[in-house]
Amino acid sequence: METRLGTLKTYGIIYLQFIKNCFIAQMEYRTNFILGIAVEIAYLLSKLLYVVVVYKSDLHIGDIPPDGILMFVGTYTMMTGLYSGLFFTNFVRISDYVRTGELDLLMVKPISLQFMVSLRYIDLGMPIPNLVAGITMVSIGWSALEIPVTAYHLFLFVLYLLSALVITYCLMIIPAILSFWFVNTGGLAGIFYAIWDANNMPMPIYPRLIQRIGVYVLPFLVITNFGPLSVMERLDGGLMLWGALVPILLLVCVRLIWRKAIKNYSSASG
Amino acid sequence: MSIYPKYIRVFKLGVQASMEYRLDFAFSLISAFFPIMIQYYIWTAVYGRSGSGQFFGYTYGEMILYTIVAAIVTKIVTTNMDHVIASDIKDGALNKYLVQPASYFGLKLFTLLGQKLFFFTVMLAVLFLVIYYFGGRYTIRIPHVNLVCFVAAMALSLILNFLISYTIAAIAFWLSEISYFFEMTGLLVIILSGGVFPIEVFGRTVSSLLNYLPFKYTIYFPSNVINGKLMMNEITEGLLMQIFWIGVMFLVSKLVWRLGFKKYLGLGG
Repeated sequence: METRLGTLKTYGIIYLQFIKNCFIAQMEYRTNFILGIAVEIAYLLSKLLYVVVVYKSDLHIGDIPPDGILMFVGTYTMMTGLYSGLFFTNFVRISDYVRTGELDLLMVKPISLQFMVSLRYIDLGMPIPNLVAGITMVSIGWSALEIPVTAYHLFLFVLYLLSALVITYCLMIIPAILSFWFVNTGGLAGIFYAIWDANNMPMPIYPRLIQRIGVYVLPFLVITNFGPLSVMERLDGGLMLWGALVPILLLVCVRLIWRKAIKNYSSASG
Repeated sequence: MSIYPKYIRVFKLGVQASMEYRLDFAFSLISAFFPIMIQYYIWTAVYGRSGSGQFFGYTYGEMILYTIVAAIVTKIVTTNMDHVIASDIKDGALNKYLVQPASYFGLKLFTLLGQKLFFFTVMLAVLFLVIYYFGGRYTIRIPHVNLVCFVAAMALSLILNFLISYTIAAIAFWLSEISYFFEMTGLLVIILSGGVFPIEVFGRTVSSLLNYLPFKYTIYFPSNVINGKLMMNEITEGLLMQIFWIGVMFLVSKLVWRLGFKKYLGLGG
């Protein structure tokens, strides 16, 4: 047990080092840093258009009013920010490592290769606009719906955000891992981004079949729906449990696929 | 010798390049389907609840058709040329084009047209199937002449979009690290062109401002040609506006390139 904790601590220290390195590197190219933020603002604008449509057309989904929908869009925006800041850069690079044989060099480092490859780069600029806008939207929706701010509600919301973060990691890394077999998986990643966008709206807007698939098979819809649904008290016990279990199941799956992928790796060059 | 064979040659190379990654093409077709699906459910919910048959000036059928067509049109007219051109400028690859007896502009344009030919044809086939199906379902009658005008509008908007990205790419002469910049401008151009929602959604002020800019003639206009929303005289006027903007953007791009070129260092290469 103690050695486990020790390992965890070491990895924590390494992760902090990653953050520090990235921060220093990004401060060197400040224009790029600012442009990164600008890109996210542009994406944000395209998402905000949905909010405009929701309010202008007074959209109700089931009995969720526009203010409720705002909470979902807000959660989605926050998750997009976290994804782009913590994972995106890493996942894009994985197929490059495989193609160029750079992975050889990373393999010999004395830490977990998956950890190294998937978490090394952190973008500190990109998530800012999304996080700010997302938190604002969730707060506006939360208070407009008059949901009491209790410790229990906050705990639920944060719990499902964390679960969402792990699910995001597991799902979005899949196209990158598949590049061990197919090399060029840009098109597949495009499909995953497109499915990711389905989270922009509360899931009751989709037919039952899509909801089932999105919750149980490829659990994309868990990412932004479970947080708001749980504080609105629309999530039954079974689903609540499922929302907490999914990230663990997925992590195990991804770990297994990763091992298989590494076995399959043949150094390309170098 | 006439000057054309070399451009026909790069055109053919473009066609070949586009046939190289067919699986990727199939994936990009599938990924176009998801945003359509999401918007389909949003609009169905919007129109389903309300007694009023129109939102932002569109009936339900028109809106669904707009959504589908705009998503496909966006895929067709997006050139991604700004990235290619900017990296040519940045790492000095432009040098090798400068010594060739052909214009860089011409080479890029014909490569693009070649690359898009296959895509364009398949997408048009998909589009016509969609229109045939949905047109019947929502009883939208589209005259054959609109189909012809649509193909013309698409071809013009591809060229117009190329000119817009060619102009924007020239920024690379002034800024050195700009990969993010093009992602941002690309996205803004799509939003302003009506690629996400019809531009009426922005409200009256913004959409009337957009009348004075070329963007709406790349996605918004062709999509509305086919969903039966525009009258014949409006279509003719739109086609003329496309030609007008192609002329203007051609001149603007020439000017920007001439100015930018004075800054060109030809590093690397």
